[in-house]
Amino acid sequence: MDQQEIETSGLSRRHFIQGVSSAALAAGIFSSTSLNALAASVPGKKGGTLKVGVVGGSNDVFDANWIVAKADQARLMSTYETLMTFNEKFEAVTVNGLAESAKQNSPTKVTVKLRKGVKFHDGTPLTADDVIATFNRLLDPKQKTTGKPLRVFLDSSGLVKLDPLTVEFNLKAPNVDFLSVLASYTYAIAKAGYDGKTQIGTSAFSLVSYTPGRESVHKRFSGYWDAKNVYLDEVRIIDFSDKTALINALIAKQIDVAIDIPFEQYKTLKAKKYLNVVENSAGAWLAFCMRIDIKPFDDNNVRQALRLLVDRKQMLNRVLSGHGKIGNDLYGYIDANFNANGYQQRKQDIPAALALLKKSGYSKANPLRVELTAPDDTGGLVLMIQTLADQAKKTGGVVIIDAKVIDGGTYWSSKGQYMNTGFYTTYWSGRTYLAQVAASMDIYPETKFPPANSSFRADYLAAAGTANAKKRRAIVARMQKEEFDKGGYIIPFFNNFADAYSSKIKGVVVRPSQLNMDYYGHGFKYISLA
Amino acid sequence: MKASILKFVIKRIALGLLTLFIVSLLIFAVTQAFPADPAEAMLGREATPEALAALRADFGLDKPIVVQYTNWLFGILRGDLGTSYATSISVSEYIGPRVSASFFLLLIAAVGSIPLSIVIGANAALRRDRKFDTASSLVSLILAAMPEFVVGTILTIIFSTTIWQLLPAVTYLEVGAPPWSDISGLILPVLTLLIAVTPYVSRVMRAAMIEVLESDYVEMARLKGMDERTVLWRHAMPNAVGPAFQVIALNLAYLAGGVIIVERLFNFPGIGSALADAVRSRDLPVIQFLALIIAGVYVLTNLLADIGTVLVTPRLRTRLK
Repeated sequence: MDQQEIETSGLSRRHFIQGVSSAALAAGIFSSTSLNALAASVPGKKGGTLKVGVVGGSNDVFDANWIVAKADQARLMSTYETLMTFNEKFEAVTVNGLAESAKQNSPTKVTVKLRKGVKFHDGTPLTADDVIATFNRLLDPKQKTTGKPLRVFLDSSGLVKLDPLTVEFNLKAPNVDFLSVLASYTYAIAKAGYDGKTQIGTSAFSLVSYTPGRESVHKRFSGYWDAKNVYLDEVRIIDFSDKTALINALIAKQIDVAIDIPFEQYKTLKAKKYLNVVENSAGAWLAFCMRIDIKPFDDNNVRQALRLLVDRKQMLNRVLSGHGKIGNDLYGYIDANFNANGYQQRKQDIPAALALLKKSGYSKANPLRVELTAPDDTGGLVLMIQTLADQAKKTGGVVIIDAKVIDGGTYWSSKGQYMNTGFYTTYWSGRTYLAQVAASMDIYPETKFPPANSSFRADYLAAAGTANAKKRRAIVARMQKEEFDKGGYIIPFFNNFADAYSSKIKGVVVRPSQLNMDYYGHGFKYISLA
Repeated sequence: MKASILKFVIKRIALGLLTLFIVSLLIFAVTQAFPADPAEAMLGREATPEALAALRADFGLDKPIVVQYTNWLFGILRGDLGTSYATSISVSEYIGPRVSASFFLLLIAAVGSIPLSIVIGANAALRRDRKFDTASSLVSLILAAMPEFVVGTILTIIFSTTIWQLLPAVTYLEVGAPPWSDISGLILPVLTLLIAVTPYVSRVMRAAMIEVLESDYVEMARLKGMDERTVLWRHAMPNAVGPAFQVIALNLAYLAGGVIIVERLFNFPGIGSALADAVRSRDLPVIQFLALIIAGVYVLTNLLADIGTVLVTPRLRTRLK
């Protein structure tokens, strides 16, 4: 059944690292209808229990700083809060955050002042010490957290407490966009001494019980700093091992919200009067990775030929029933500098692909035969490799792609196909261009791009330290040219995701956001039942 | 004669335990052959050498394989099932409620299907080639040909989502509540299991009954002028039920594993989803324990079937010395 499921976000069982880190976003990216719908409906009454269904299992993680799946996001957002959050333009703001104010003083210095009167679920006040302890945990390589990307910019010694409510971040490498880093949802603030086991956060709902693979129960926290925006008495996050069961439960009215519906069900659910469906696009992407240091992908002719082989539209239709945006092998969709060179859309061009391959000596007699892998736990990736293998047949036997589905536990492991073979698949949540470069270049070097003789790395460091928008764009354009001409990613599309919920639910904000249900209602605080 | 049956049972139990031991060895060996160890599978692309080393030490994976196995085995013998790697809670606390929920599901399916299939099978045999026989044969053939997930999906479409919204589409058990606390949520999963098992058993029952009804001793009983009811219940049934026991046992044992699909379909909090998750995360203590449970059900149901067959079949009973 897994293979028929479409992984709407591409983020099923695995790590989608903390998300969008962004300065700005061209407002035109999102359709005006979704922005118009931004205004939340009138809140309903106080009280009631909200039942939220999400695909999850016993391998789920409950942690302020680590997630592997959507269920983990839902629980993290229900229990913890970050210093900053993102608005619909993916700018870092203090709304719904624990920071009262935050300022980037220089490319290497950021000061954050905490809100007064914020309490943890155990009644103790939030202080600068808790923030420093959280970031120390994120910086510690022995801890299971998503802090790896942070370590490029920050050392423990850079965290300074100025007074009980003020923290200074002194960066070791310039990052003019560090406030966005603080808005990453897995950089949520836990109490000093947090060990990942006892879940005490600052959110609107405190944890009552958590049974792995079944459900977590959260009850309203009376000491919450923004109590006036909290309506529900209780939230239950219920695990479903299967998407079909999740949708059935929603249709049979056993749950109020289904997180991440498969797009094949989109129309059916939308047609039901007692349900609402909301779709979101936030620049998440699924991709083929070609390691530029492994034969035959070390040959740029091969990489460019494979990029020309893809019928992107067909792939988007097959994998996501068309719910996404066609990609051009460039990432950073939510960035103001996305496609800074204004490249035309790459289309399937078999003759051009064959010409490139001929230059490298490939022909029907001497075909390019490659193995391409995907993990069985991410349905979208499975469909992608099968589609590409199909599309390669148009070369008349010059390109033969052997698509192999690998058990997820093996695929993603540190010895697995992921990152260790020449041709495989991956997915990412939406992030801005430079944040993605940092992640793809050093933290998860999926393609081993850039090559040794390239100026790409120097350009990256220059761009991260350049505050002037125009100068920055020029550097980014140069970097994107190199990736467009010689990169190792094939990015066929950016994927949307969608949720369905009972129409008796009020207060769901519809706007571009990186997580489902607009960051799970920032811990379900704005949501009420009619 | 009682002593001989006892001896037979003890011998079978000893063999069963040996089977379980071999199963545990095999499962352990297979898990060692997984391309990724539990630490690598859990950390995935977030893995740093430090975090890998820390997790391996936590799980005891840095110890030699033989030590790992014997530690686990002695733990089991002491009643300590170990700690689940993925959930960090003890296997008994994590799996206990799931095992009882699955057993409950299995039990109702068994209790429902055994008499049902015997009655259907026996009636079909008695009315051989008449309407009831033809109809029940046809229906059971169709149902037997459909996999559980198809049956379950059709039932869901009919009774909970598309046609009528009469029954819950999934089982929702409050944590800590017994499986029978959501009776309406159990109806569809139990019905699916009944439909999965009953056709096979009733087919076998029908065949066995026909054979018995044509046998010399039934003929003899009838010629002696016994009334038909006595012939049927005293002479025919015990001899026909014997072979059916074996099929029932095999079916129940199959259900112990096959229940996984049904559990997934109805989001039933049983061992099925726990086993699938455990394999994915290489959660060895959970895999080991669940494999033992499922193997245990196989051993136990087959043992009970053999004892049952011996007890109801006079010629086997007397052969035991």
